[in-house]
Amino acid sequence: MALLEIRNLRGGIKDQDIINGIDLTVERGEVHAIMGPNGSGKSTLGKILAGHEEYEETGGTVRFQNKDLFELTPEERANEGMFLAFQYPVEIPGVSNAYFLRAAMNERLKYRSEPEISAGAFRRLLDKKMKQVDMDPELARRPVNEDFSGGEKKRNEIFHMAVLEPTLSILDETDSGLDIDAMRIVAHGINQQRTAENAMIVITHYQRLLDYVVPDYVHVMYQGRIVKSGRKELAFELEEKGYEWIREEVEAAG
Amino acid sequence: MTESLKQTTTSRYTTFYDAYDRIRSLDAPLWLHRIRSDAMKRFRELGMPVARELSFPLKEDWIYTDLRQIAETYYQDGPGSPGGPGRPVEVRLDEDALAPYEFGQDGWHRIVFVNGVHAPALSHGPDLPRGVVVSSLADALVEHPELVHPHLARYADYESTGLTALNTALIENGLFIHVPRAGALETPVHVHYVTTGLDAPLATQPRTLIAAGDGASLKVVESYSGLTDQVYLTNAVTEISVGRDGNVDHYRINREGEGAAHLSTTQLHLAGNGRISTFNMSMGGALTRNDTNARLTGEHAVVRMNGLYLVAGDQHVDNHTAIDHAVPNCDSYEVYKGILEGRSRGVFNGKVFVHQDAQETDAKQLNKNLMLSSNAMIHTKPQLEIYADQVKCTHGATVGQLDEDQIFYLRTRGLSHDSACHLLTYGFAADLIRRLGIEAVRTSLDTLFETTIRDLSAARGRTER
Repeated sequence: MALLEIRNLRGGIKDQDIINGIDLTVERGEVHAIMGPNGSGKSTLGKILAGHEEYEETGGTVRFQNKDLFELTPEERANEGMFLAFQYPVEIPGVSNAYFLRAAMNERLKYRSEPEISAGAFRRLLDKKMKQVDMDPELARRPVNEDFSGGEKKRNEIFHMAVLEPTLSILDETDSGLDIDAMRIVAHGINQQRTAENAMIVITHYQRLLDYVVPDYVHVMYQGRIVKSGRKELAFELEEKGYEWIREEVEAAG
Repeated sequence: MTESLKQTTTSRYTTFYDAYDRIRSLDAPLWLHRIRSDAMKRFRELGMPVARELSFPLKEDWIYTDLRQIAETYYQDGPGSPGGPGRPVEVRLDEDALAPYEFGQDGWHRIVFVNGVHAPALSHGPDLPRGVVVSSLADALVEHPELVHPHLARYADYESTGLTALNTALIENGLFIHVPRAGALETPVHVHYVTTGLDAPLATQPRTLIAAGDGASLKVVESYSGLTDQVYLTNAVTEISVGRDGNVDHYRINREGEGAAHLSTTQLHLAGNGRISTFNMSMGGALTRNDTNARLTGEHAVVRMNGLYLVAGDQHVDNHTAIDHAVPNCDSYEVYKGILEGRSRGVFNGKVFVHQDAQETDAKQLNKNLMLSSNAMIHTKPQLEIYADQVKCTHGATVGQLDEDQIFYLRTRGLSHDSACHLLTYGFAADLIRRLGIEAVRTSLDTLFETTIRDLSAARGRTER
């Protein structure tokens, strides 16, 4: 059984479908890139998978770890091993990163009927993960994302991912708004997390992140569908030709 | 005034008049007799702020908080017994009864009043530095009247404020701290005003007087706890005076019982270069009204006036603050945050006066409210009156709910909806608690606050199900 199986998924926001029938199978150990022009439904897919209340599935099925995804609340999906890295990470004033991550970690352990993590063990884990993703320890002490720069917020998402060790990470435009140095650090952090046991869906508008986080598969979304799939070379083709070419192809196919 | 109305008002305050007669018969310095009788005269004229009454035109300050029910309750005089005035009833409490309300650390100075009566058995503390006095006000009036006289009733205005007049007329006991010039009281003082259940509604008039001389410093926590859910009244007045270059850290914690009315005035008086930080936390009581006023009388004085209110059910909490910039080059910083659940009501009114001479004033004020229920209500009003032209004054007020995007973000990391709401509520206030000066106070308040909102979330969970 695949880690994630999406079959003919439709859905969107307020009675308006943005996703118009998507099929996608993700196996453990794979990295899938989803590319496409603005408004093609890439981020909507991420939000539907993570369970955002404003988005609704109107058809199709999604099985995650062989469970019906839509039977699970957002927190159950997270505790089953799904992680959504936000395009615009949210600020949580007054709550330190470390405090929050420990709370999240303990919820996960509780979900799995395991004992809570001790303060010492958590501290050691945090230190290890901070090193792994090149995170400034000062940022771990500060309130979650509050007054963080755009780049720091994205790095913090990768830090959360490193600590929570998800089996499926959906990275929603994690490269947007980053300069090339920040992107390299973020990409390094992502690559550190790749194992044979987990998988990633990397949603991006540009090919440049994929120079660093090399995908196994590339899918192109247009008008709420995956209109083209291929290997990493497809990303180079898109970079070269732009999305206009896809548009023409789809329209020619009628 | 019609004869019948006069009749009602007379019987209405009988309890306080009787208390006054009892206290007047006690031994006291002549100057104190005079202050009490002046204050009683004013209280007879002013009464309590009660809405819709001919004799007391409704003052703007009391639009949202009506004391009629309190004015019409027949209270038992605090330290007096039901058997008649002059015979204090001592309710014996043991340490265990106080434990859930304890605050701070072992080794602090602690002074406890039970139903307005000083409880020496529960009061203790380490040796005091030379010249420093920490005692009950009644003891201080006997042992150090010369230290009390220059400050008592000098700052809190009993001429125009009925509740202060009432408290002043009935001054009997409370905390007294005196730190002389250049002295330092490093160990914090915790004064604990406790009310236990009695067979009739009880009224107490706690009076706290804190005087820090030039260059003196001290830290004090003033807490009010109710060990009963019966109806009772606390009408407290606290005066804090800090001399030149002095420094006072003051925390006030209201954990009154469910049936309590808590009325308070805290009057801060700052000389040049003086510093006072005050933090006011209101959680208890059915009705709470705090008036916190600061007067900056010497240049380069700085006052920090912060507060947090957390109310649920049918609780009502009203914070009125006033900061008076009388001279140039003073700073005031004020942040009040409120969390309102259930059908609770909140009021925030923050006045800042910058007098014509008070150039180079830096005044910042912020009130933020988090509404956890659609039935809760807040009235918030910043009121800046600026008569000087070279000043930096800002103010702001916000009223909002828990943010859905924040909740979703936390849920995608595995937190349940309830845990996410709890964490966000905690974060809303923790932000303020985190900045408190004394670590032991910070930790204690943090724990107290977290437990309270956890209980609140749990209670909400139960009602929703």
